[in-house]
Amino acid sequence: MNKRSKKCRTEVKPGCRATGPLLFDYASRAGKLGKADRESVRKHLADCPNCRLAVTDISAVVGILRSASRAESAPDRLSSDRRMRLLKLVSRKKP
Amino acid sequence: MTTEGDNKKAVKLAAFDTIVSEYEGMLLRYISRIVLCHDSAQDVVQDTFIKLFKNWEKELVPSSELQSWLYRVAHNCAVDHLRKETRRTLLHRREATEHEEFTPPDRGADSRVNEAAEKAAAALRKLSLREQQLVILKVYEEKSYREISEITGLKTSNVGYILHFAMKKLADELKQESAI
Repeated sequence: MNKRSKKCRTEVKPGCRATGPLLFDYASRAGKLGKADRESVRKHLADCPNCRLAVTDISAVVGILRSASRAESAPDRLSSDRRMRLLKLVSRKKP
Repeated sequence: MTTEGDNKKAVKLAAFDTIVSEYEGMLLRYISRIVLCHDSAQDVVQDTFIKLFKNWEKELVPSSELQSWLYRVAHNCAVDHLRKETRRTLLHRREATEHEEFTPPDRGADSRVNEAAEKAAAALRKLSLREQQLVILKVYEEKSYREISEITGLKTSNVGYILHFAMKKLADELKQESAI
């Protein structure tokens, strides 16, 4: 570990801790962050290469996961036989 | 002639039916991402609703509390399902070794997706089930940390911590695979 990255981590730690929970939303759906939060993340990122890298990574991972999503083809209803079995099962139980 | 008990039961069944219609799609989507098989997801979701009918003591009306309960119970049912599947696979493997052949269980044509998707899915599967759960809830279900905390019972700060490291692991893995 070189001196520079050690120094950088020490310097940005409090800011990183405060900004950390906002990075995901900033990277994946910035529009949903409030204006103040968005601004504070933007300011922090200007001074913190580690968090900038984290945002780039999150953004790339979210992008690939969403584009790769196979569950979009998941049926949105239980199959009719399962639904019937389910209702039959619960109707036998006491209320 | 109907009794008061019959009426009460009919009312509960009607309310239950409404809840199933309201949440079945959400649960099927979520569980499909965990078990990677639509048939198994249907079984898990069916079990979840049976548990709901047996164990939910409050009024059966759509609410965020009920939704969190369903996510939580469905996740636990999915974990049980995966454990059983793993035991079955190990048993198959042992039997196959004895007979010098082993064919892993086929999860169906719907699991064959493009290369990037394969890499992303493989990277996701390398995470622990807890990490997978958090990533799925955040990335796909777009839940807030507070909602994830309600579903999982983890502290909000822990949700952020686990998610942060899960995303880092995913990024490292996908970089290694030249997928990002």
